[in-house]
Order: sequence, then structure tokens, then C-alpha cells
Amino acid sequence: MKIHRFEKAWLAVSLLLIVGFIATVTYGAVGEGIEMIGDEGEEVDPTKLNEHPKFGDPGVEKTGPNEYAVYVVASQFQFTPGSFGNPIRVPTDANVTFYVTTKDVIHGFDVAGTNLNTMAIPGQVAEVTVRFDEPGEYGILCNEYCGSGHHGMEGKLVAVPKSQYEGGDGE
Amino acid sequence: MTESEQSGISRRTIIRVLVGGGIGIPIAVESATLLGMLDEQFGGGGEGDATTLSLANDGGDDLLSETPQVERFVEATQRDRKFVAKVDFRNAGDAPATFALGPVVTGGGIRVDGVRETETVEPGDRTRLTAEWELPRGSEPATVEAKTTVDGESTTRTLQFEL
Amino acid sequence: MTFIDERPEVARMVRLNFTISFGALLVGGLFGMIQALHRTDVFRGFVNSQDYYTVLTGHGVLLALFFTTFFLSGLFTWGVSRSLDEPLPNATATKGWFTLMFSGATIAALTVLGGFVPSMPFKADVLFTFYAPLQAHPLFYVGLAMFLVGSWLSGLDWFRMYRSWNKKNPDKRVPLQTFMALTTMLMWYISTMGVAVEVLFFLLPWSLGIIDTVDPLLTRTLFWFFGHPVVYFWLMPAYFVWYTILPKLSGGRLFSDPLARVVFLLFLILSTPVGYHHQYLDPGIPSGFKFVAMTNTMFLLLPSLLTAFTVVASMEHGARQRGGKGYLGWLRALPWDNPAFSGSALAGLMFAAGGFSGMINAGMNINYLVHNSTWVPGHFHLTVGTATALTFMSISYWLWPQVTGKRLQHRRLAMVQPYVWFVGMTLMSNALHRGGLAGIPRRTAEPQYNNVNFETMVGSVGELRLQIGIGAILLFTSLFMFLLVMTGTWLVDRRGSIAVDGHIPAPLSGPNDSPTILDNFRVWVVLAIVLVIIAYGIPLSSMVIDGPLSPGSPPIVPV
Repeated sequence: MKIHRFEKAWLAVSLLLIVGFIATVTYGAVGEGIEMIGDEGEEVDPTKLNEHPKFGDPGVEKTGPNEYAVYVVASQFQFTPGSFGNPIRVPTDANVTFYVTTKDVIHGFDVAGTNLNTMAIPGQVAEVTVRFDEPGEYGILCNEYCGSGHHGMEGKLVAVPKSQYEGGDGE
Repeated sequence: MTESEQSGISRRTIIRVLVGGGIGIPIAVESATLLGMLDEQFGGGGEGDATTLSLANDGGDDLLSETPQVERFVEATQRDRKFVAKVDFRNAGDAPATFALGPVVTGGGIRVDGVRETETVEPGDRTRLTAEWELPRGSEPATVEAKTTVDGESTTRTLQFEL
Repeated sequence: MTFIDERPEVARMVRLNFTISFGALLVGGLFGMIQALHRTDVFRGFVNSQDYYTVLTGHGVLLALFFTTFFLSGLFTWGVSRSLDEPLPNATATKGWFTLMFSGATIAALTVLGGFVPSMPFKADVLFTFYAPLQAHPLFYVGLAMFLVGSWLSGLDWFRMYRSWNKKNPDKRVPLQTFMALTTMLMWYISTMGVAVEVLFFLLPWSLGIIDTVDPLLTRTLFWFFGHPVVYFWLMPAYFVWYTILPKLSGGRLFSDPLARVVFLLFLILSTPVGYHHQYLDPGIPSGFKFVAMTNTMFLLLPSLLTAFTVVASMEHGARQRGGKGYLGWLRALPWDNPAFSGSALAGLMFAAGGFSGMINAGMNINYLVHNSTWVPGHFHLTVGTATALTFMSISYWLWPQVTGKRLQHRRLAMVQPYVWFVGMTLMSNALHRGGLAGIPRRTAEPQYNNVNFETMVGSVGELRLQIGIGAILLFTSLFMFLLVMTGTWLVDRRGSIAVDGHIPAPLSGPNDSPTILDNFRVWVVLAIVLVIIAYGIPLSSMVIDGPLSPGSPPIVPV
């Protein structure tokens, strides 16, 4: 097959570019240790979340010396905790694992401006671990269409300095 | 491609305008974006707009009315993460006094430590306290402590802001 | 001889398909402008925010499904007939699939529009992706199924024409335009399996109450099995134009036929096993398979980069035939006043940008930052919204006269139209990308929140909103200009000969310069299926093994 030499050069450059892209993503995964949300989360019955030991009473809990878990239930049209004057409060400099699910339709759980972004799919639990290096206040929004009130679905997350943090979400 | 005069505008000119504008405008838009992003990343970026904060429950002319000193709220502004509050402190009492602001508590409940205090103010003198804090990312000030101290005894009030 | 006189029945089918396509374009495009003005708060007087989602569903379904597919059917019917010099295999069968497609599309579209009328039970405020547990009226799914089956049958026509030609020409290589149409349809058959199973086995019976629950993760995964390759269903007809017609419009010939075949085969085998890149942030899918989807997706850059080379090389060849000289000076010799050329060329240029923003989406961990933000529509308005849509509009200026026998009317309007589109899309897409980086969400009627402050890198949110609004208005203006030209041309009487020259010269490097295995469709189909099984086999099985309807969700009809 006749291939022009310019085209051969272009093909080589293209393959290099593609391999380069794969390498940068792999570096992010392996080098920086950014994990993708996978299937580690359990399966749940979305119609019976109230009876679930964790999602029945969603919130923040301390799971280890520097480890916290946040159970979030998304629903039409709020995050629990997160919305309506009940912000999610987590400490800085700790490993915080979010477990996110929904009791009705698919929602998004997006801490705007960060890479804490996940889908809440009925029957599944999205598990993602993050670390806040600095204190700050963030908005949470739903970024997957979930019905007529979708654009009003928002919440707040506060990363409190470790020294000021009194564990849990104000029970 | 022949050149024909049609209502005074030649075909060639039309094409020049179309291609020039049609490709030129997008190039300009994208270049402006690129330059803006480079500037943001490497050039220290620009500063955001300042927002003015007002007191929720007023009494701004004499913040601590129980004290003989007059603490007058001048202004409070936030620009990006920098929060500045200014209070005029006039010692209308008969003993030396100081005035202090801080710490700040943000809307999300984060306490920003740091008490900014005036020098000792003699009776009859006045001074302006300009207090500055760096707030956490995404935060707005909700309250700040105001404190007048005379002879080791302090009177405080929690100032509340509304945006 | 003009095509309409050579093959009147084929020309009629092309006209019918294009007419439906343009009708969908008009309504879908109008909806797009309404959306842009509404969500930016430039003007919220057309609809209320609840109906916004009806508008959004209409925009997606009418443009991404109907405008594109009907145009493809018309384009390929013409291309296969022309390149093989064959008539339609069976006029009744052809009318049959067209009627099925058209009826299905109409039923689905009407259910969507029913969302505007509260008293009507038919509605489908579920968006183009119709994710369960959101549920539409059963007729929505019925319409989609009919439309889909009709599209399958359209491909049969072209395979039958190919077989008829092959019997008479057993030793010849498949003509390029037919090769492209057939590989596109083979890809379509493989990829639509996902959405066909999703709709026929799950969503339709669920909407009729035959089953109580469906597994949202499974149905969503089946959708995206189809949802990525469908974009190649939109792109391959655009490539068809850029490879087989654009060189001639540039004044020359296609640089390389063999590479064009390779490109289409790469799409056939790689389009489907990448669907997980739309589900990077989904729970329930193992991250290892997401990584495989990422590498496959990155390799999908290859056929597009190869296309860039061939298309530009062909344009340069044509420009030099027209007298162009110099390293870059040859660009000036191209026929920028011919809208069929300029639109296709500008579409190709914009596609380059769109391809790279797509690479960001593909970048797995990078996707955390842009998923479901306005970056995503920023990207796909460059690809389907320009590479496909603008190419389709531009090539219509060349093809519509040939299938109607009429001279193109309003030529000045036509000449300007592609440039208006290009400028409008730059403004809108640039702002959508920047908004996405700040975290502004897509598919949202009012992205203005109490708790959320969007921090933009460049420019303010206010400026972004204005840019989107202006861009959208320019786009709709351009679309309207196009429809004026098409309608005006259709309304005049046939008079004399058309100005368009339908002749397509042979490529510089012809099909005989390539190995014959490229034309052996069976090999490539088998390879495509194997890759799909590797990518999807295990994850899909694990979703089904725990019960295909479990964990199950009952339907929720959006208010």
C-alpha cells in the first residue's frame, strides 16, 4: 500500500501524541494516585434506604484516627446532609470517604470547582475518598437532570480546620 | 474567480470580509481566552471585585453603646479572600482604652483567628482601626468580635454581617 | 446529466429524507436558541423553567437523532446509487423503511411536545438520554423503536444494491462512497444492539406496566453502549463528504482512497468498546474497565488525525490546481465564496478543536473536573453541532440542486451562512468550555445558585452568559438563512440546467493501491464484535447476574 512519506511521518506523530495522552492519564492514576470511582460500593435497595444502617441516618462519622465517612442521600431535590441549612462539615487533613446514593432517580453530586464529582445511581453506592488540605466552603450542586426541580438542587460543604472540628455533623 | 461590481462591493471584497471576519473573529476570541488563562496562571492574575458588607443589626454609630468610648463602624469589604473592616475609635471616656476586632467566623462556621488591636488611646484621642484577615476559600464573614478594653476590663459584642 | 434525471426515484428518496431532516433542524434549532437565552437569564419569556426540560428533550431528540439520521439516509442513498450506478433494489421496501422511520420519529416527537400541554397524558421530559428511573409515556419508546428498526432496514437497501453491483463486478474494489456507507451501517448494527435491548426488553415493558422495576445502572450502561458510537454515526457521513466531495470542491482530487478505507474500518472496530468513558464517574462499573475504555478512546483520535492529513492534503492539491502558490499561500486560491466548500472546510477546522476538547473528556481522571458541566455541550457543539451540522448544510448547497434539478436560490445568503455559523459557534462554545471549567452544570434551566459561586479563570460569569446568548442567536440566524435558501430553491420552477457540477474525479491514490482485505467486511465485523465482548462482557454480565431487574427502581415520571 502506497503511503506518502509525509503521511507516514504524520501517522508516527499521531501515535506518539496518543501514547502521550494515555501516559499523562496513567500518571494521574498511578503516579498521583487519583482513583476512579469503581464498583467497591455495595448495592442497596433504593426503595428501602430508610432501613439501611448508614443511609437511614445519613451524615458524617469518624471511622478511624484520621478517617471519616460521609453518607449522603440524594433525592428530588436535595442532598441529605448538605441542603437546607444543614451543610456537610468535614475536617481538613483527614481522609474523608464519601458514600453517595439516591432514593429515587439518578442525580449528580458535584462539589463545584473541585474534582469531587460523582453520579448517584439508584441501587448503587458511589465511594470516593478525598482530602481537604485547606479549610474552605464549597457549593454542592446536582449536575444530572432529575426532574423539574433539578436547578434548585444544591447544598453546602464546609472543610473546617482540623483543630476546630468537633467530629460528626452536629447530632 | 472574476471580479464583478455589484452595488459597489466587489465579490473579492465580500470574500475578504467573510474569510477575514469569519476566521479572524474566532481567532481573536480564542487568543483572548488563551492569553487570559496564561495571565491567570502565571501573571498573578487579576483581582476580583470588592463587595461591601453591612451590619445586620445596626447600631453602627456606636458599636458598644455601654462603653463611654465611641466605636463607629466605618466599612467592611471583601475582595477575593481578603476581608477588611474599619472602625473609628474615639475615647470619650476618662481612662486610656484600646479597641480590638477579631476573630472572624465565616458563614460556614470556620473561625479565622487573629485579633487586631489598636494602640492605647488616651482620653480625648481617636484612632482608626483597619483590620484585615485572609478568609478560607469560598468563605464570607458572618460575624466578628468587637472588644473595648479599659483598665483590664473588656466589653464585647458580636457584630453580624449581611451581604 | 443531472442526477434527478438519471435516477428520479433515488432523487425523490433523497428529497424526502432531506425534507424531514431540515424540518427537524428548524424546530430543534429554535429550541436550542430558546434554551440558551433561558439558562443564561438573557430572556426567560419563551417558557418557564419546568418546560425548559421539554425544550431540552426536543432539542436533543430532534437534532441528535432525527436531523442527523434522516440526512444520513438521504446522503447515503444518493452516494451508494451514484457510486455503484445502481437503482433502488425495491421501491416498496424503500418506501417501507422510510415510512417506518418517519412514523416512529413523528410519534416520538409528538410525545415530547406533549410535555408542553399539561392536559395531555403524552410526555417525555426525560431528555435525549432518557435515563431510568425517569420514565416517559410508552409511545415515546414505541416511536424510538420504530425509528430504530426503520434505520436498520435502510441499510439493507444499500447492502442489496452492493450485492447486485458485486455480481456484475466481482473483481472490482468496492467504490469508496459505498464502502463508507456500508461500514457506517455495520457499525450502526453493532452499536444499536445496546439501546435496542434497553428499550425493547426493559424500558418499553416497564412503561406499559409489564415489569415493575428496571435496574438503572444496567439500562444506563446499555444506553452508553450505543451512546458513544452514535456520534460516529453522525461523524462518518461528514467524513464521507470531506473525503469524497470536498477535494473536488477544492478544485482537485482525493489524496488517498486507501487511507480513507482504513479510517472507516478503525471507526467500525473502535466506536463501540469505549462507552464507559461516558460513565467514568458511575458507581458499579469496575475502574479497570474504565481504564480500558480510556485507552481505546485515545486510539480513536487516530482515524480523525489521519483524516485531518488527507483532507488538508486534498485541499492543498485542489488549491494548487487552481493556481495557488507558496507554503501557505495556496489557501487563498480555495473557493471561499462557494458555500459547499467553505462550510465543509470550516466544519473540518472546528472539528479539530472539538476533537481535542473530547480528549479532555476522555482523560478519565481529568473527567472529574468537567463531567456534566457545560464543557460537555461546549465540546459536542463543535463536533455534531458543527462538523456534522455545518457539513450537512453546506453539502446541501451542492446536492439539493442535483436532486431537485433547480438552480440554487439566494446565493449571497448561502455564501455568508457558513461564516455566521462559525462565528456564532466559536462564541457559544468558547463560553460553554470556560463555564464548564468553573463548574457550571449542563442540562440545567437556571444555573444560578445560593450556595455556589462559580470561579472563572478568564472573564466573568456575566460575560460568559452574554457570549452564549449572542452565539446562540447567531447560530439560529445562520440556520434560518440555510432554510431560506433550501426552501427558496425548492419553490422555484425547473428552468434550464443547474450550475452545480456533480462530477467527482478519481482519487490520486486509488483503491487498487490498498490490500483487498480492507474490503473484506466479515473480518472487520468479527474483530469489532470481539473488541465489544472484551470491553463489555464482564461488566454487563455482572450487572445481569445479580438479576437483570435488580437492584430495581420503580418508574418516576418527571412532573
